[in-house]
Amino acid sequence: MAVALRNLLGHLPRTLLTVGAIAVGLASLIFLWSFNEGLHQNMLGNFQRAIIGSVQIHHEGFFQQPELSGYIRNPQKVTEVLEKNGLNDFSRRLESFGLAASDETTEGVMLIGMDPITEPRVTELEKRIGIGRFLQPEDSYSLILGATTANNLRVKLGDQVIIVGYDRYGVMVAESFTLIGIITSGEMGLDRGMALTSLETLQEMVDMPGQVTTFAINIPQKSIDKSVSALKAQLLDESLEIMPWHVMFPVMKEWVTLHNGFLYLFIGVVLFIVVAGELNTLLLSMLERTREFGVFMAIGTTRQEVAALLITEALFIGILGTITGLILGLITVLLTGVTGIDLSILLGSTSRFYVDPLIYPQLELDRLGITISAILIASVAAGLYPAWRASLLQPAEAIRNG
Amino acid sequence: MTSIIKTHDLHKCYWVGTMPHPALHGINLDIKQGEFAVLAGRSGSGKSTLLNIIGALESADSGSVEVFGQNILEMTQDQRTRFRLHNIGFVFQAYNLIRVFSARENIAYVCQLQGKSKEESLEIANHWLREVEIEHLGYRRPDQLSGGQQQRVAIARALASDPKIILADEPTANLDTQTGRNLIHLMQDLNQRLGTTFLISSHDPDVKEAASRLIKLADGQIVDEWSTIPKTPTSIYSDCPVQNMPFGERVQFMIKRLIRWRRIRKPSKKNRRRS
Repeated sequence: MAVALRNLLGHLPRTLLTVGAIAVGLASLIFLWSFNEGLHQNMLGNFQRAIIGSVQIHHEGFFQQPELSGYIRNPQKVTEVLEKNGLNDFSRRLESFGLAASDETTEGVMLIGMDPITEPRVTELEKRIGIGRFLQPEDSYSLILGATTANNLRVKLGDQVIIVGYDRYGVMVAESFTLIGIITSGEMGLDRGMALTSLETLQEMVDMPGQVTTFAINIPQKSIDKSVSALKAQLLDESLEIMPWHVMFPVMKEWVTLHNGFLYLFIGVVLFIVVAGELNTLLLSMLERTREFGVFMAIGTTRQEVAALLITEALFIGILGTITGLILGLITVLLTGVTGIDLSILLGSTSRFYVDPLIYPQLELDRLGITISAILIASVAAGLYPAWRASLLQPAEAIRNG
Repeated sequence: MTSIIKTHDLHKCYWVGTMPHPALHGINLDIKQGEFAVLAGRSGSGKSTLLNIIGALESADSGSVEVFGQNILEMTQDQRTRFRLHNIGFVFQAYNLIRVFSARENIAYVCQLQGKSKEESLEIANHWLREVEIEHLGYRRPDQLSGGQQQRVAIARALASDPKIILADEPTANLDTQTGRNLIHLMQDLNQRLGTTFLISSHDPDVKEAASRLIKLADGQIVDEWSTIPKTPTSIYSDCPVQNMPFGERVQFMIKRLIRWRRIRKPSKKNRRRS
C-alpha cells in the first residue's frame, strides 16, 4: 500500500490529472442525477397539482366513463378513512361532461364542481389563473374557463356563459354562469376543455345535493403507493376505484422512465470515459515502469504482489477521485439547489409540459450511492488490465527492454 | 569448497521473428562457495544471459541449472521469485533502484518482502548502508545520488536479504574508472569478510584483475577459465574436465581446445565469408 502511494505521489501531475477526470465525471453525474430528479419532481408535482392530485377515488368505472350516475355512494366513509390515515389534503368534486355556449358558438367542456376552500390543498389552479380570479366560497354560478376555450367561445371576464349538461337522471339542464377567471397555464390539457365552478353550484344544477363523483387527494410522492394500499385495505369497497396518478396517466410515468433511460445511457458514457481515461493512465504508467516492475520481481516481489500494487494504485485513484468528485458535486448541487437553475431561455417565461422555468436540483441518497459505487468499481476495473499485463512480465526481459 | 552453482549443457536461443540468435551453447559451469568469479567476454557473448538464467530471471531452452542443489529450471515462476528473495542478490548495470524510495527504503524493502517488520528492516538497511560506507545518504532518493553511490545502495540492497550469492551484471559499466575500482574493492572486501559468493559479468579489465576465477565466454561457450584460488594437492585437478582421461586423450583434448580458441580469436576465411 505504501509503495502504491509512493508511486502515485512520485507521479503527481499524472495522478492529479486522473483523479481530476474521475472527480469531474462523478461531479457531473451527481449534478445530472440531481437536476434530473429536480426536473422530474417539478414536472410530476406540477402535473399532479395542476388538476388531478396524487390519488383519486371514484366509483368503479367513473374514470373511463365520467357520468353522474357513477357518483360515490358513501362519501362520508371515504372522508372518515382519509382523515383516519392522516390524509387531510383532499378535495371533493363533482365532475361531468357539458357544453359551454356563448352568444356566438359552443364548445364541449369537462365540467368540474370543486370546493373553493379545500381545493387549494390539492391543486394550484389558483396560480394558473392569469386573468380574473379563483372561486370564492360565496360564489354562485361563477365559472372559470381555460384560455383556449374562452378564446374559442369569444368570451371575456364578466360575460355570461351558458352551461348545458345532464342531471343524474339523464335530463338535460342548462344554467347561465358568469365568467370570473381564465386559466392561462400554457398546458393544452388545462387551457382547453376545462370549465370550473363551485361544488355547491354544480350539485344544485344537476340536482345532486351532497353528492360527489371524485375525491382528489394530495399525498407526498414517496408515500403514494403505501397510502393507496392502506386506503384499499380500509375502504374494503369494491364499488370504489382508488387510482394513483401514474395509473390514471401512465404516459407521464413512461416519460420519466424514458428520460431516466437516457440518463443511464449518459452515465454509461461517462463511466466509459472514466474507465478509458484511467486505463490509459495506468497502462501508460505500467509501460513506463516496465523496468521497475522487472526489478521488483527480480528482488523478490511476486507476480500477484505486482498486480496488487497496480490495483491498489487504481483503487487509491478511484477513492481520491470519488472524494473530490463527491465534494465538487455536492457543492454544485447545494449551490444550484438554493439558487435554482433558470431554464427560461429554453422554456420561455411560462412553464411548458408542466415544467417550471426554475429547476431546483434534488439529491437522492440511493442514486448517490449507486453512482459512487459505479465510479469506484469502474476505477478498480480500469486497473485490472494493466495489473494483469504487469503480472505476465518476465523479469529479465522487463529489465532489458523496459 | 562446496559447489553452489552447477550448470550442465545449458542452451539458450533467442528468436527475432523467425531468425534464431543462439545465446548459450552447452555451458557447463561449477561455481564454488566464496568465489569471486567473473564472466568475461565481448558484448553478445552470453554473459548476461547466463547470469539471468542462474539468477532464475530467465529460462533456458535445455540443460540444467542447480543452485544449492535445486534445479531452478524446474521451478514455477512464484517458486523462482521466492528462491531469488532468499538466496540471490542482484546488482544491475543501471543500478535499477526503486526511484520513489529513499536509499534506506530501497534496502529495507527487500527485508520487508522477506516478512521482517518495518523497524527491523530499517535497522538492517542502516547496517548495510554503514557497510557500503554511505550511511549519511540513507534518506536520499536515487536521483539525488551519484552513479557510484547508487551502485553502493544496489550492493547493500543485494546483501540485505542475506543471500549466499550475489549476481552482478556489468556493475562498473556506468561508472568512471576510479569509482569502478572503489566498487570492486568494496565487493572484494565483502566477499572476503562475509564469504558471500560473487558472480560478476564484466568486460572491465579492473574487474577481471580482481577475479579469483575468470571464465571467458565467446559465442555462448566457455572458451577459457582460470582460477587464482590455491588448490590443495588432493584436488589440484578436481576442476579439470580431463582429470580422469588417459594421457593421450588429455593431449588430444588440449589441442582441440587450442584450435577452437584460435578459431574464436581469429575466424577462418570460410567462417568470415559465412558471417
